[in-house]
Amino acid sequence: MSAVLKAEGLGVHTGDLALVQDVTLTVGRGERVGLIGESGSGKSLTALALMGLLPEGLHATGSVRLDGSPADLVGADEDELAPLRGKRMSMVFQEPMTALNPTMRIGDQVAEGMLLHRAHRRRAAARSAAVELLDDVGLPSPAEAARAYPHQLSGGQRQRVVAAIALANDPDLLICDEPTTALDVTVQALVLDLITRGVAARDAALLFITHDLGVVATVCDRVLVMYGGRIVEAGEVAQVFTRPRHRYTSGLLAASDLARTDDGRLLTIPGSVPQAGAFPAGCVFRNRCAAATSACETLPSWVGPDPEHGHACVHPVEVPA
Amino acid sequence: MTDPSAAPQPPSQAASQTTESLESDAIASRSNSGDSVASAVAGNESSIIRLQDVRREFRRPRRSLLQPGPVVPALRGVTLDIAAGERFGIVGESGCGKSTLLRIIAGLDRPTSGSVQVAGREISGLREGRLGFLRDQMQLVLQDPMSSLDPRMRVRDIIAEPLVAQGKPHPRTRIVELVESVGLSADALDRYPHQFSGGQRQRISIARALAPDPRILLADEPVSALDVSVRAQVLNLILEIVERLDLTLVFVSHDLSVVRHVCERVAVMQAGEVVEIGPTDQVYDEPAQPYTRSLVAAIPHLRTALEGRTAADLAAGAAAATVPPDRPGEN
Ligand SMILES: Nc1ncnc2c1ncn2[C@@H]1O[C@H](COP(=O)(O)OP(=O)(O)OP(=O)(O)O)[C@@H](O)[C@H]1O
Ligand code: SF4
Ligand SMILES: [Mg+2]
Repeated sequence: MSAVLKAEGLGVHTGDLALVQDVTLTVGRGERVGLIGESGSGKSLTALALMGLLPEGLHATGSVRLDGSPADLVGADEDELAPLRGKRMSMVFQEPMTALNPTMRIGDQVAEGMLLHRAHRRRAAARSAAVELLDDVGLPSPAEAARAYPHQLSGGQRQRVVAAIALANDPDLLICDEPTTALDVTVQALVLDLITRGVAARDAALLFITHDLGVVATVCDRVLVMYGGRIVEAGEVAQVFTRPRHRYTSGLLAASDLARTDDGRLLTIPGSVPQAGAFPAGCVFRNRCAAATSACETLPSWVGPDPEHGHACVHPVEVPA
Repeated sequence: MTDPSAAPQPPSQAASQTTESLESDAIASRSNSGDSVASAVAGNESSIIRLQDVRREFRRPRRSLLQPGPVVPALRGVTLDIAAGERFGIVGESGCGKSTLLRIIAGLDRPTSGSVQVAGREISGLREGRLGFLRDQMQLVLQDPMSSLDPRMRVRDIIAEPLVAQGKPHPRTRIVELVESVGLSADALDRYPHQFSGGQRQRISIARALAPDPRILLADEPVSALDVSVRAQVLNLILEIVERLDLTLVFVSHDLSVVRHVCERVAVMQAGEVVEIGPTDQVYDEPAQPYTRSLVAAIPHLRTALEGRTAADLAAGAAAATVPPDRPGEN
């Protein structure tokens, strides 16, 4: 499988504070990879760094390569990045309004995305292609929707429009950052379906960020678990979610299951995610981990055949034989 | 600690109303064995919250100078009985009217018609000044802990706020007790909301809600903005407090899988109506209505996903519940 996206030793820093460190990942053609972790783990910063969209004051280190583009995206100029975005790689955020222009009709926004990257020569052709695309993502009465302004659509419909725009130019890579977190379950189901179908039809690579493990299990084949700005475990979804090795992963699984202990309480991970810069040295999960020993005070090394499979835990959860 | 007579009472009429309702309450608790589950509609005299055919219409802003804006029914005749001490859930999708219903129960909004009784007292017709007893009895916890906490206030003032508003004493010992009861330490009192995480901020709003020593806790999506692990912590806290203080809980959520872990009974709302009501496990495991079935079918589950349930399957399950295209603002 050819890797569409390859990041090596990716880091995000502000001043001398490291927010994301040593992230190595690949996403292959047609592959769907989840990135999970609690709020403040560094998921969004990782996504923004991959897209070259880090806000002012933050900078990336390491390397990010997109298949077929010779230059390293880390350190590339906006001139080099802009033509890639929206065409080779695109992104869907949690809040659809961040991606939509409130004063422009939906159809024109979709068409503009296509024209910009010359998928269509003529405006009229782009316009009818836009309506087709809106139909594709399941908007009721697409021709009417094309004439509407964003505020005239519901949140779920807006998110479908954003997904349509993101898929409009058949990108090789789609990055989604919590695209359905603000939606009702039924609407979420439709948007997830639309994203997975859209990606499959284009044989595109998908990197999907969420803290809902049920969503990851539904959408993805592989998963990366992030905590404290580091990947702490990675592997096939079926493997990681049934036989987690890192203590953070197993805690996350228990908490998201809303499983009960014998005294009727729900299982939780004790404490909360520290502020950036306040994670302990060594294993970043050390101050919340019941299994921590002094051995965890040094940064655990990666145990596994490759960066896509393995964990960084000194005392991993035993795997039942 | 809650003594209705201690609340500032408006003179004459309201006072006699109180006596009346207290009497009927006493009779009710003698005659009723507390079988709340069966009484979907009415007839349970021990209910602490009682809604009869509650309707609420909103007028949308007008679009033309000549015509008034269209009327949108947010609640179309809701009848509910919630027993004292019950943990009651209300689920439904955004726009179904669940928050409007909660605001009406809390006396923050008025029904267009219908009756709303809290602890035996009709509140739907009462003027703001006469709702003092409600503010005593009932407290509300909202979804977004950031926007519901005043960023310029210290935590101690936030927690004392409901007491201050009611002109009640708020000694430091009480405030410390409250903040500690939600698992924070006393040194949190001198800090500001932005210095806390989302889960900690939700703890602060729970501490504030508990300050007037209410009998009823209303919670509108209290964990929707929280992470999975923090969500479990806050749910534990709510359950523990409801049990320890013997509160009645009304818990509104779009997420049936969360309600299931918190509530004994649940009402499912769709487009302003209660379409199904029953014990939570039953509604979840054997939903009677197609709408409820589609709500359950759309929930992504870890286990079923690992067994091969795809996004297309979820979407197929959800399809029955999608809002018709002529009401686009609602989904
Ligand atoms: N511009 C910035 N300057 C300094 N610190 C930042 C900046 N943006 C984010 N951070 C910090 O970096 C850490 C990781 O943030 P990030 O947004 O990537 O988390 P996340 O995993 O996406 O969380 P969520 O699930 O809440 O979206 C957090 O501690 C955050 O406060
Ligand atoms: S390395 Fe140590 S502290 Fe970190 S998760 Fe494993 S056991 Fe816990
Ligand atoms: Mg994020």
